[in-house]
Amino acid sequence: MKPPPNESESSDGVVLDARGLTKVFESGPATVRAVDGVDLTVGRGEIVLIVGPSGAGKTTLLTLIGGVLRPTAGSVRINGYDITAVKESELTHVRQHLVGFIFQSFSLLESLSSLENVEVALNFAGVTGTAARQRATRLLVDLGMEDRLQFKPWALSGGEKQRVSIARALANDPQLILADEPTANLDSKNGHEVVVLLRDIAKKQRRTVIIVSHDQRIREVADKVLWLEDGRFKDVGEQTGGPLAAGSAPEPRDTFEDGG
Amino acid sequence: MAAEVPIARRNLLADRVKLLIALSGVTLAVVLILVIQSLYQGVRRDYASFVRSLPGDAWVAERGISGLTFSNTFLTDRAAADVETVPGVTAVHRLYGRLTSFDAGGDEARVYVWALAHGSILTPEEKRAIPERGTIFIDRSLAKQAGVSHGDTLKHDGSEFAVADIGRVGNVLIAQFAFIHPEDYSRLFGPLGAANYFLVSLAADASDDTLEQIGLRVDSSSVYTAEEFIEVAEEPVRDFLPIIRVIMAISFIVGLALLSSTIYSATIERTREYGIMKVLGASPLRLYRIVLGQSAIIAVLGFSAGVGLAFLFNRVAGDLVPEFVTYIRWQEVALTLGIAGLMTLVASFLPINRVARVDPASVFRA
Repeated sequence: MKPPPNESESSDGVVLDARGLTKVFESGPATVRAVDGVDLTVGRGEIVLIVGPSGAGKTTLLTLIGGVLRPTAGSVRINGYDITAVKESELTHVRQHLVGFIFQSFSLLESLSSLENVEVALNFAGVTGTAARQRATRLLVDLGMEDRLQFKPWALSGGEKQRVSIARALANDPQLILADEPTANLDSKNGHEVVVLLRDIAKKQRRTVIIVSHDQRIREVADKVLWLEDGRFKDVGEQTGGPLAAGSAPEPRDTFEDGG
Repeated sequence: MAAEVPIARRNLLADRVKLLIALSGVTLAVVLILVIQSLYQGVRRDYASFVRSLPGDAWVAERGISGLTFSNTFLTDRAAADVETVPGVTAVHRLYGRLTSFDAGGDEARVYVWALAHGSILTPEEKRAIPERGTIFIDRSLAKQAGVSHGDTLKHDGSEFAVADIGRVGNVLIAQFAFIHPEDYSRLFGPLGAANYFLVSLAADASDDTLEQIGLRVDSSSVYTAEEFIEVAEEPVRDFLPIIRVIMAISFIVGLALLSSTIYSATIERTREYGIMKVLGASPLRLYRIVLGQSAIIAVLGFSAGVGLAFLFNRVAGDLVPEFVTYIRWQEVALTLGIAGLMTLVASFLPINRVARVDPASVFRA
């Protein structure tokens, strides 16, 4: 069963719908409920920030939403497609087409250039050759990386690495972007640039962005801030948006004008 | 299939020292396997060409012989006369041979000297197998060892022989082969007496049981076709097969150990990257292909370099050591390619298992 194409968004504009999401880890006699009956609905173009203390289950929740981990109970629907009902082998399709990941430590492949790091994500989804190269080039150029296409990760700054990581997350045009502490390893300037990029991804490209972060700047662009503790949302507050929310703050460059 | 990012190649090139070590191991294994095999095949080829260069359709020897020069066999003139009476037999040639020494540029060269006393008029082709009086046919090894070429002379106990042909006859590692005229043979070693082998020429219309009839006329004898006799002649060479197999096994293990350790450590070092690729949607099969690809790249490069070096080594060694006669057949090259392929699969087994167990969620644990 192939996942539906990204365009077949559910008619109500909901991109992510998680119900009763639970993950229990068992290690010998010890049992840990890392995520405990979480419900989460996020619409198209929304930015959701998940915050909470260490060990609250934020990253586990992110991996459940992205189809990296299987939930113990509950369901996750992306564009109406229930990814918890598919076989393990079909989860690769989910990760290829429906979700894009941005990591705290960038997670680039060290032996590949910036361009190749984006290309591999396309290759995994079946896009190869010139088509993959052109798409990867365009994404990186859009992110201001035109002079760094052939650079290996070790030759890039933290901010540049995260741009490559973002380009890779967008490679297969997923509707849902999941970012795990995307600014944690960046200095103030680069962190700000990444926040702006994430905002643009949501607001200009109309993608759904879920971010796990302690970075206060992200609150300013988030539509929703959710507090996760002991695997549960404790308080759901609507974010009115800070100075960056409407895209009025200074930007590193005008990105994604053509929708990526 | 359109081009994809060559992750396997990029991973290997990222650590060139390890790549070089693994490549050296596979190359060494391929060189050893090919050189040992080519030595074996070189001796076999020389035996076969020796037998085929002589006239006659059948070989008669005393029963139970093993090899051409390692067993004594004596056949009397009376037996030859009996064989000549068998219907379908047109001629019986007597082959004499013994191990002796020639003066090879100050050194002594051990040479197995042969002489053929033919029993009838020979065809021009058969005639070329028999040297004129005072001349000698020698193999390339003896020519190199003695430093002689066509027209030079070789000495034996005060007798001189002009080299009339080089390369017609082969060698047997411990001694070279040479041919002289039967009268010269008699002058050197005394009256011809009992022959070592009979080479029997048959009529075109000889019946199927002619060989059996020949066997019945000579007590305690065995009769072989030329091709069957090649098998007999090669028996002592085949005794080396177990040793050759041990050397091949050692070479395989050395090559495999270096290849395996490189691929395994390359996989361990990139465990997290395999996790990242899983998160990005790489199928398990694609990840296994990366591991296999790394192994295969080293195996193919090592194989190619090994084949080239084996040919080079054989040529240089053959020039320096005349007895080093080698022959690389496509069968041995194919066998070595198969061994390299087997190395690829075995070396990839553990790393693939490791990759299969990588938890993609581990990527999120910073």
